Amino acid sequence: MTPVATDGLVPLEHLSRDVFRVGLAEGRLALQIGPLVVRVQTVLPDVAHYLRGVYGQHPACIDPSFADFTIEVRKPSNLRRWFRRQVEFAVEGETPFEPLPRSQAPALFEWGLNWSIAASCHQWLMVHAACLERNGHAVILPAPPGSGKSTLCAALSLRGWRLLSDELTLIDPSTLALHGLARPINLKNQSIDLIRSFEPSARWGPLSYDTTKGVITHLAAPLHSVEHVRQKAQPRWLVFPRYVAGAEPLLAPRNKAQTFASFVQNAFNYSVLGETGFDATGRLIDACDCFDFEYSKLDDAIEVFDWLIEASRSPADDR
Amino acid sequence: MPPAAERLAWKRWPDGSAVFDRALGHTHILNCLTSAVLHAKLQAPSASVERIREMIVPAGNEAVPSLQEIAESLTELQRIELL
Repeated sequence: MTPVATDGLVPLEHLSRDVFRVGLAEGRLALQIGPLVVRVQTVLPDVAHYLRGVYGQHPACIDPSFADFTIEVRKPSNLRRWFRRQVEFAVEGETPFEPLPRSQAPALFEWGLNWSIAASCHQWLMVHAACLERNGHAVILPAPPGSGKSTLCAALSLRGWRLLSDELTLIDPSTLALHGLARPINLKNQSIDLIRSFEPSARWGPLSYDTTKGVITHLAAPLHSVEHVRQKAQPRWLVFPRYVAGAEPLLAPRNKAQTFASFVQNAFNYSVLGETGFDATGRLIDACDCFDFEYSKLDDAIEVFDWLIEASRSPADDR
Repeated sequence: MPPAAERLAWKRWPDGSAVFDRALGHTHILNCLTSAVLHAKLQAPSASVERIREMIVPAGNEAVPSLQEIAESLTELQRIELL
C-alpha cells in the first residue's frame, strides 16, 4: 500500500528519476513532511539518493504553491572548497552553520531541517523528544543525548508503535494534539548495528563517519507511520528513558512538579511562548502519567511499553 | 511590578507547584512547603512566620513544618523574586 496522495502529491519514489533529479536540481521539488511543506534544492547525488531512499514514501510534488521552508544543500562558494570537500546548508538563502565535510551531506540535511523547524515553528510547543502512538495513545520520550531515546524509539516504531517523531515533538498548545513528522530516525555508533540486527528488513540512509557524534546514519520511518502521518495523537504518557547497561527494565513514577522542570529543559521554545507554553506544559503533565524508565534490552523495553497500552485499556475498549 | 496574585500563574500538584511570573517571564518549580508558604503569603501579605505556620495545613502524613523551614522558604521566595 502506498500513502494516499492529496492535492496533487504523490509518494516521492513515484516521481520518475528524471523529474525527481531535475526538480531537485532546480529547487522545484517539495516534500510534505507531516504538516510542513519543505522545498529542497541540491545537485549533490548522495543527497538525492538519500532523499529518494528514506523519504521515498513521503508525499512530494513539483512546484508547490507554498512551502514552509526552502532548503538547499550545496557546495560552499568560498575558497575552502578547494582545500577540502565540504557541504553547506542554506534555508531561505541563509547559511546558519559552518560547512561540514562533504560526506556528511545527508546528515546535514536532517540537522539543518531540525534547526529550521525549531527556530521558527512557534505555533507549536516544540520539545526535544521522540513521540510514538499506539491505539490512540501517545507516549512522549524527552531525553538528553546518550539516553538511548532514539534506539528505543526505533525499536518501538519497528514493533507496532506509530512513529510521530524521533527528535522534535510538536504539540498544539491549545489542544495538546501531537503532530507527526515521520522523518528518519537518527542513530549513532553501537545503536546502528543493534537496530540492524533487531530488524534486518528496515530501510537505511548511508553511514556518515567522523561526525561530532561519531558514526551516524538514518533509519527510514516505517511505511505505516508515513501513511498515517497526518493523524494527530493525544498525549498519554511522558517517559524519560535511560539506557543503563545490564539493568532490568524499571518504570518508576515521577514527581509531576519535577517533570515540569525536566520537560521545560528539553523544550526548544518554551520561553518564546511565555504563558502559553506554561499553560500547555501544565495541561500536558496533567494529561499524562509520568515515568522514569531504565532499560538495557530492547525486547524488555517493548514489553513494558506494550504493558502500558494494556493497562490503559478501558472496559469499553473490549466491547 | 503588579501584586504577586496578579503576576503569577499557578499549576499545583500534590508534590509541588510550577509558577509562572508574568512580569518577568520566569518559571519556578516549588516544593510542597514553599508552594504552601507562597500561597499563604499571597492570602495574607503581612502574616508573620508563626501565622503562616498556622495557615499551612499539612497534606497527608506530612509533619507540621518548623518555623525555621518556613523562614527558609520565605527567604527562597524573596531570592527568586516571587515575594
